[in-house]
Amino acid sequence: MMKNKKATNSQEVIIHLILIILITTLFVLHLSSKIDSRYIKQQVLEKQTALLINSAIPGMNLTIEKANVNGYINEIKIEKNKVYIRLDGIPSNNGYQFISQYNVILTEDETKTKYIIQIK
Amino acid sequence: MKIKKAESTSETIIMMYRLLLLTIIVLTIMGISNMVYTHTINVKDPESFVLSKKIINCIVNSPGFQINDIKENYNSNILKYCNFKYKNETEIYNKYFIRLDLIQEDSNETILYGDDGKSWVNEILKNSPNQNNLDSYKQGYSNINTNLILNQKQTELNLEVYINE
Repeated sequence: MMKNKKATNSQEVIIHLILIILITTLFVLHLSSKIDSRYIKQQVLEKQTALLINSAIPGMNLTIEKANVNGYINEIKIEKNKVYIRLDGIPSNNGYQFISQYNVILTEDETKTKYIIQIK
Repeated sequence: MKIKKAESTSETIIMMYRLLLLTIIVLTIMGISNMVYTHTINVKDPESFVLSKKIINCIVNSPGFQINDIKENYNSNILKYCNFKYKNETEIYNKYFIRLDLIQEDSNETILYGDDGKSWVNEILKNSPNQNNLDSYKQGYSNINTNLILNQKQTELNLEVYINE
């Protein structure tokens, strides 16, 4: 009887330990993904691009290299007055809004190494 | 034998409750960390300054600029008057607050456009005796005060732009 109780207690402790390790791992993984610098770099790039579009005047071409200092740009989208940049495979969820008086046209370079934002 | 079975069933039930409790705790911690560790880079200050400059350029470059024209024909929306392109007026209305004062010798005209939910902050800043201490709270706010000649009249222009979101 005594032995059985001891066994049950040790089983419970093991299960608890496994659960605690699981939760801690999950928490650490979640935190590391949150403070991943790639998200911040993506945000910086989106906001820089939006500000450049805001202050640009007709005739200006903004060139953004795909192999950027902030990482590799997989895709840039301009939709509904928002800039979305997919950086190092991280998709952009919210994008960043810009406001301009002119037409903003996004094209890709012939060599496919850079994006060109034309202000017309 | 029966007592043993009942014991094991009750232990299983207790275990399920524990697991549920743990899951709730984990989700709560993740939710809180999600809010606390989100790093947001604020560019509202340069954004408001750029917008202010573009609005002033628009006013200066509009021949025969009349504030009443914006009030009557553009529903006080100076962004529409200046031909800014946007998808949705509600979004713009919620994001920006623009106040334009034009003071001339014989008239004083004002237009307000946008969500003025934060204009009370500006009132506090203006009236506070210790406004230097409150300066750091003016995120996304620009105030340009300048003198120019508009329709051949000396005009004092005061433009305030807030970016709310």
